[in-house]
Amino acid sequence: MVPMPDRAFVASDPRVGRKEVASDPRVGRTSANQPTAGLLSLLLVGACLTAPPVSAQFLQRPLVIKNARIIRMNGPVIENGSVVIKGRVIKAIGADVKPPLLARSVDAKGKTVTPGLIDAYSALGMTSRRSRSAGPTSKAFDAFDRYAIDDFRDALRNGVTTVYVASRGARGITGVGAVVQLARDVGESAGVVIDDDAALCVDLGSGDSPTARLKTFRQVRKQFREALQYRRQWEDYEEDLKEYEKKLEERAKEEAEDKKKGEDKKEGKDKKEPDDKEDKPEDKTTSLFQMFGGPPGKDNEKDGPKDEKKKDEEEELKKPAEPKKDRKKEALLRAIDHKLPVRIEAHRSADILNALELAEEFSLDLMLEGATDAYLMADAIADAEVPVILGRVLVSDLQRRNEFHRSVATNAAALEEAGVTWTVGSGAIDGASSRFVLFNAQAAAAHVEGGDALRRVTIGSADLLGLSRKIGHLTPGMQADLVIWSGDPSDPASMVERVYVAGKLVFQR
Amino acid sequence: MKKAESRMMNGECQMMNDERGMRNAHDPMSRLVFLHSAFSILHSTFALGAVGLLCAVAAGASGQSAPSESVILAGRMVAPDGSLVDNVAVVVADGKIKAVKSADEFSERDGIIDRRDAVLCPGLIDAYSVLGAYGQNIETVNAIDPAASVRDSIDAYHRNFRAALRAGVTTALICPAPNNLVGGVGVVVRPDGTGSVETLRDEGPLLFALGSSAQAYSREPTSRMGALHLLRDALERARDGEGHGRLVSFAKGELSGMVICERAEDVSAALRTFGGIQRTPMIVHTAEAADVAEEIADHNKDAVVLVGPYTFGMSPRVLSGAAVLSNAGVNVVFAGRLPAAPTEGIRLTAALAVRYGMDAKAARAAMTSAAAQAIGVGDRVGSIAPGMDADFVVFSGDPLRMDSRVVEVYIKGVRVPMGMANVE
Repeated sequence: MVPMPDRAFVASDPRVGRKEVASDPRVGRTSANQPTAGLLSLLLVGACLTAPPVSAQFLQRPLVIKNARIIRMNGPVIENGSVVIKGRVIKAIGADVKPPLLARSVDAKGKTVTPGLIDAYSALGMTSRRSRSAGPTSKAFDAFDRYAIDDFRDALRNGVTTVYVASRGARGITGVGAVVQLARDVGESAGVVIDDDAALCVDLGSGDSPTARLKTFRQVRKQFREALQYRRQWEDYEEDLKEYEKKLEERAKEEAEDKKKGEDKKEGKDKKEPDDKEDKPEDKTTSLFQMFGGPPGKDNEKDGPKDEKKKDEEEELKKPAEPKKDRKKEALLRAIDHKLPVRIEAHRSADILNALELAEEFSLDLMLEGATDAYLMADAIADAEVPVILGRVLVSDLQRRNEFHRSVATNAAALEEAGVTWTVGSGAIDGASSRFVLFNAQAAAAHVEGGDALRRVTIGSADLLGLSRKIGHLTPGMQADLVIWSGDPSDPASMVERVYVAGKLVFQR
Repeated sequence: MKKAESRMMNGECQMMNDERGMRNAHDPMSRLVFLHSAFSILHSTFALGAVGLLCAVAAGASGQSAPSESVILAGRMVAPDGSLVDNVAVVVADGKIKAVKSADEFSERDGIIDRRDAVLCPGLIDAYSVLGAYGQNIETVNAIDPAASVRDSIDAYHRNFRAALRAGVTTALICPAPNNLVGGVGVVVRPDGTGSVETLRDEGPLLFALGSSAQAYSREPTSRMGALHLLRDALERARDGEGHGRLVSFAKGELSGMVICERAEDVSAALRTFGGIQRTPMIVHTAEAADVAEEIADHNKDAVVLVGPYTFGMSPRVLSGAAVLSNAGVNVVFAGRLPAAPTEGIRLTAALAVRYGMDAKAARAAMTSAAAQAIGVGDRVGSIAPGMDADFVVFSGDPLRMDSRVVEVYIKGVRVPMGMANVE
């Protein structure tokens, strides 16, 4: 069968590949002996019509990068080895790897191969203005400019292949972030999203005035509480609905019995006769017990002595009103249910404490973004087991106000000592900053013993973003995202020579 | 002003001005005399050897804590040409570098500072800075104001000086703001780590500025046309001996100058306007350096171009510009703009310029020896060579790498105590 095109947002479209099959009236009506063949041929036709003319990658020869120094991040450095790429994935990697037949080869003698760099805190391609109406349902990828070619090319020139971009807006809960790969898409555009539901973005506005920050935090907390209320509302509704349906059933059963009994006796001893209008409450209760065979339910609480049985019954049969669906609250509930991590941008110590509190109150999977003051409470962050994604490390004296007023170069070192999981992004300053994520990481790691900046921005960031089964290290079976450097990547004098994303060459110097 | 006019040379000049706090913590003259006498004792008792040594050590110890001669062993060292040399020993005496030898010549003994796991680098030079003077150096009343000196606006006690030291910057050229066509002179200073600031060059380069920052609506010039006309006029008169002494000196080629340019056309204008003057001014420029590289190289190979500093968010053309200029043979030096840019800005600009094609050696020289030469103190600081002041920084690795950090800073052979940044 011809494989589907590897473009994430096309592959996720449920209509792809099934339109022709589902709408064909002949499907399912072929004779019992031949459904398989007919169905298969139709599927094949459908797939062929929707797939691109040639899925070039699949039919391409495998690629071997040989004689390279391989820093694979998932094992020791291979001083002289090869990487075999087939299609989108790494087929084999090692010192004595036999290249497959018909493989194209690239001689990387004297060069170093590393996984593609990941910027876990980026603003690459996010050129549109902040949206004031951004809320939990806003998606970062909607603001991603897939034609910001110059920025992409420069990022690739510096080895960056994957970025996480947040949805930014006014303060508070601003949307859902996305993880984007810098692969060519259609025509000149680039930017293939591999996770458009990566994390809930929250900005506590650390640069604002104290009253504004207070307001923001209260607003965020209120939104989470309202989400829980919304859930309770729906749970109540579900219960009420069940009760109602149960009563409907029993009512139907009863009416059937009544009919039978009614046919036998005109005026029975049953007190269900409609002319027994005024009943004493005790009688009513007794009769209800007889009718339902159980203790009075919730519905009966509202039944006062004033109501007649029949009217009671009619009221009880009223279907409970369905609460209004609110997708924004549902997004927050996913965060509360650990289905969506929450990234909170907090720089000042007070805001970091608030973020930790929020995570505890609603049991969120929290990740701190920025965290300029983190070194002041490294132990508290470690105790809460919250990972930190550092941003801008180098701050000038004049920038030391508002959110950066206590910025220190040793922030990462303090986190490392306290045992906090941390990584570094570029700080989402603007689209240009992503390209220097390795330099920023080096500045952060400069004071950490054995601070391996390259490790942080490859496997470290992949782990934090939850993508370490796909990218971040060079292991057979993983997506082939790799960079060939002219020398040691940490040496500023070495240049990026080639970049591969998902096995495809996307940059060549 | 007369005092200023009489000190035109690049010579050493030490201010003993109480109000500004710019003085030496220890009176240098008496210390020199003391040590001189100690050495003469040494000479005369050379045959006795041990006694002479004891006297020298005692003499040094009573003046300050460091011995009169010390040796630092380094795994690598940044040489004046910017290359990295392995396994060196630097002999320091009297605050100056006495000799640079191979580390193998020295065996383990007392008094040796072992930094063989580190890289020794001359103290970094910020060739365009506002340390201690930020906000106080803007005087826009007169477009042509050669009488001003930034020395009058420097706060020597400002904590920015300590922050600069912590980043390895030991010398800075502090400049008036680029808001006037002729803004006055800059001053080269060196913080000594004990809280005071020493002047290395009092009559620094004369500062010129072209670009929109030099234009104002409240006074002339209000446009580029007006600016160049005024400037040409002033320079012509200065050539004829008319006008302020500093301008006349500059026109004669005796006083160096520095032109702050905003855009490529400002650089072209600068080359045209100042072309006739022998001592070529330095050009400070940023984003469009790549566009004018050829013009600068053709026009005047001796021009020095200051680039940067680069901060994340700027166009990377700043960096490719530095590379193009350097490869075309133009002298490139990095501007630190402390404290307006991060203190690691000089090293970051250098590292990024290398990534964008600049030669690593040229980048290291741009931070040290080339910068010192450009600001006129190249005979005293900026390189580790015999006769130079012993200002150096011990880095944990190649200073071009962002993952290297400052381990120690020495000014005139004395280690500077450094506290934790921002937690004082």
